Amino acid sequence: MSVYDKLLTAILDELYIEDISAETVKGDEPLFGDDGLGLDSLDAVELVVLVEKHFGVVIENIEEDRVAFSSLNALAAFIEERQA
Amino acid sequence: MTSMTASKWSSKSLGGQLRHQFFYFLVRIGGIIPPYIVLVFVVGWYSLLPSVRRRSQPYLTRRFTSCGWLSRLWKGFRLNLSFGMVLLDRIIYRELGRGAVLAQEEDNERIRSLLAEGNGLIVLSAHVGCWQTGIAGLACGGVPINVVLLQEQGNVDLHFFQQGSRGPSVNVIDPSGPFGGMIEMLSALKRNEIVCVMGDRYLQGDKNLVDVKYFGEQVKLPMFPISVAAAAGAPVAVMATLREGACVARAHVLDVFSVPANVGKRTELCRPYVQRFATSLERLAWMQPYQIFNFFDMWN
Repeated sequence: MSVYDKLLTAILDELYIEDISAETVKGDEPLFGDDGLGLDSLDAVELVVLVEKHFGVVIENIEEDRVAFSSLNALAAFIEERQA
Repeated sequence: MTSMTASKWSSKSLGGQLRHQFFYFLVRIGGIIPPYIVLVFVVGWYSLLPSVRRRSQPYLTRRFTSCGWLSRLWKGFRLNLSFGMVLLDRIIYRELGRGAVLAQEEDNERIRSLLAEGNGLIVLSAHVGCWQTGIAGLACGGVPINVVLLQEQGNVDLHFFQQGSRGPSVNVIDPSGPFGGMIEMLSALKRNEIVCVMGDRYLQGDKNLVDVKYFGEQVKLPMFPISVAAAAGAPVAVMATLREGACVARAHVLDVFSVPANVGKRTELCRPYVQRFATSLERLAWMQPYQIFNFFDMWN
């Protein structure tokens, strides 16, 4: 399973996003805000924990790592880069 | 409890910067006693203003259910005076270094043991008593302290922390920053630091609110402190720092609880913990009615 797929599955399962299926999610859509997955600031906290739990990647400096939260593709790329 | 909007109560409306500066000046030239005397007259005049009286009525009518208008006017004056004294204590603490935040050794030990768990600590507080000096005076063995505070222009609370509070250094986390400052809070907790949040305040537009009972009626309170605690595995200490006399305050740990990791941002799972916080506040309001600074109709 690719990082992207594993990440998407974890997000949909653990962030209790019930009205969106994996097939309808586009990787370049924004994670936060009204479009895309529509996550909010509390989801961001859950997302940080989720990324650390599933991929062992720690997100600490949100100013530096903010770009990783722009889309699912960006977050998957960020995880792969940190794991390399 | 307050929403951070311009039309409602905010730290910017505590008499404004100019009137604060007047008291700073008075403390510098007159010491401690003259500013308290001036304060009584200033508060007396303010308490007669309908716009000022209206601010405390929602709380006073619920706390003192059977009293006439004259009695309520007097109680409003006492509440405003108590608030003014807290602000003046803070100015004296900052300008002259006079003042002390005391705590029972038992409460200090509770804080130390919670920090020893290694997951940081959320200090959940409210606009009660001397909350600013309480944060600045937290005795926690050099553990860094973070306070979640809106970095708005003219915020006198922010000014207090930024200009040096004579206590341990305090890092301000801006809830209007990226992701509402949540990740910054999480990072601080992971470093086993203290994060102080006001559980009775929410940002305008915050959708993550939960309905709880306060004085028998529903109010909306933010659930982010509970969700962040759950994510970090951090214990929560509900604390209040009450004024005991001129420049003397005492910190009290009102409640301590842990939040299971699966709570997340699910309203129904967060509600019991937010209710616990509201119940602690209400209990305090019955014991110390003039140290609850709810200058806002939180029930409407």
